[in-house]
Amino acid sequence: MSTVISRDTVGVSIRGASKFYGSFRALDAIDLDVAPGEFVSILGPSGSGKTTLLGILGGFVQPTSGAIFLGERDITFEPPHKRDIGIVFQNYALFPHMNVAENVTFPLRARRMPKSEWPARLKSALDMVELGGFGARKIHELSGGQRQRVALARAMIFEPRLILMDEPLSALDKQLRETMQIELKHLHRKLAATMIYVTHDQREALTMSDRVAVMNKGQLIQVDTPERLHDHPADAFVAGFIGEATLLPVRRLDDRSVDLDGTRLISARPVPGVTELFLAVHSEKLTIVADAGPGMENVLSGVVTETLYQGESIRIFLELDRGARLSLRVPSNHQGRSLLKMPGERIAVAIHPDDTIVVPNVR
Amino acid sequence: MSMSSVNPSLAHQRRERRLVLLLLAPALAVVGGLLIVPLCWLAWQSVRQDGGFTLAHYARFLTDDVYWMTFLQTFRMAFIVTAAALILGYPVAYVAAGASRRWSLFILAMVVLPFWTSVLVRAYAWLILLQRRGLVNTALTELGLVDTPLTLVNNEFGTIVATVHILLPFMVLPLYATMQKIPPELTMAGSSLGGTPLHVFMRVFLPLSLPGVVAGMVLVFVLTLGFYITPELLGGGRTYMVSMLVSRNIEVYNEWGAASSISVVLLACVFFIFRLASFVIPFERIMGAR
Repeated sequence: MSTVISRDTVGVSIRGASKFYGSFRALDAIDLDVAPGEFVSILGPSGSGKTTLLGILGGFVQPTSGAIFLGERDITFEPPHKRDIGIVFQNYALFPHMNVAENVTFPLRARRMPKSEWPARLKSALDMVELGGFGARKIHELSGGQRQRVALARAMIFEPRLILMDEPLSALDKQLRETMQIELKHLHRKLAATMIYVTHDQREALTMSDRVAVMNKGQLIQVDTPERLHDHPADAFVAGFIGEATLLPVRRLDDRSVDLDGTRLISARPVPGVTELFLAVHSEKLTIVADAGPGMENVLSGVVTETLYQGESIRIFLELDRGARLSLRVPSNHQGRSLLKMPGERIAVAIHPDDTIVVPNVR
Repeated sequence: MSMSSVNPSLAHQRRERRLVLLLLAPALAVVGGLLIVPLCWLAWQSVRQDGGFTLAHYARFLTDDVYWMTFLQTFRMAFIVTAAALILGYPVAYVAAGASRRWSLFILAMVVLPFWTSVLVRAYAWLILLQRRGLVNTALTELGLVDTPLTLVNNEFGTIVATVHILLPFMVLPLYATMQKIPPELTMAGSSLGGTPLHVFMRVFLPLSLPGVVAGMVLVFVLTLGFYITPELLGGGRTYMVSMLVSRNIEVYNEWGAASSISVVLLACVFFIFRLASFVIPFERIMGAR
């Protein structure tokens, strides 16, 4: 298997990076280490500082304090063109006055690479993104997905030591986006390059990443594997942002149980020792109990307020006896439909102690 | 379908078309009455003499050296003014397009402000600045940079300075409009891909700003071709432009036929330039429409 990246890949180390715009703190002492060859997503709502972080990595934004290392090299004050970072921009940023081949070979020309080396590199880069034979096409003749691939080929052709991607799939439709997610993942494996991927789409981040860094209000809240992030959120923000969760305020009883409006819920994991606690109930983790008898543990009961048919699953909203609202999902198959209740009917749902996630409030 | 049934959408369309015509009528009347009719009259005059048809007025372009020289000097002037306006205007537009909203508004206001002053006033202002005992010469002699005052006005140089100043907005505004539409990500992408600032400018920014360059150059060039007041006031009789040739023919010789033929040729030149430019950039964009 041929790979475009032949150089040793390096990791990235962000050390105490802050950025102030006047008194506004866009980034607050970010520490993040990305291992060589790792795929890390930076996930956060708009305004969380992820674009500023990307700007600092790319060299377009000067951090107010802190340092950025690419491998052993301090690149904090290096201009973008000396950083050796391939960037895929949100709207691809392809040069409209050049054709595909001219776009993709731009980095080679800029680096004064001998022209004799261009054809082989161009071919391998275009083949990598399955656009062999598209070299002479004009940019405006390409579809969104093809533009995306050209941008990728252009960012890879010069064997950058790090590839940054800024919401590269956000302009594509859902189906194409999911195909490209898988393709990007395969590409990452093939290239063995370090990749940092900025997105606000939690599903995308979970699908593609080795680790996800969740940001909010300029701070890194949690850096973890997708699974840990989903099932062991650090606080109420992460719990609310990842997955389809309802947050309900609870009271701590002891280190293994909490009280939700009079119902004792047992958790398989230690309950944090703080006062402000939330139960994070993921829709998919509730199961409908057909006959809830007394003595059953971790069972909540309430009234169905609404059911939404969403194709592969049905989302049910219910109001618990003390007024708290939450939602659950059942698969839209025979079994799921047989458990379905009409709005107004009573329903009992169970949550397994392993799935009983209790998080502290946002710091 | 019965004959009496009327398609309501068709009737609606017809009503709308009538309304559009009605709304356009005043403008069409003005353009027709004040532009088209006089132009036709002009063209008619240029082929008439003593009540008969003649091409004598046009033949003078081949025989009379003054005609040739005047057109040559006018085009020469237009080239110099256009080049100077481009050299001065490009950096201004570049800075304005790259600046924050507040600064770009300020810069554009500085460019456009003189626009609202009469051309006559601006020409006289330059006369005062550039004359023998004017501000510029006084400053230069006081500083000891020159011994005797320079001849800055009543020649081609003075005319060029004032014309460039007057026409600069026509260069800066189309340039700014084009540059402002170049997404900043493109230059960011260029530098992240390894391009030095100069390389990115030459390969990405400059080519994408070319439509604005063409639009600005065409506007300034064409406007200079027809300039009258500035060369008349600042040229000191040494800068003889086509417009002055037209005016002399009427004022001094009362030669409407000659004046008309010169005007028609100048107009044809302008049409030809716009036609050439339209191969590069559509006419509507030269005139500022998106």
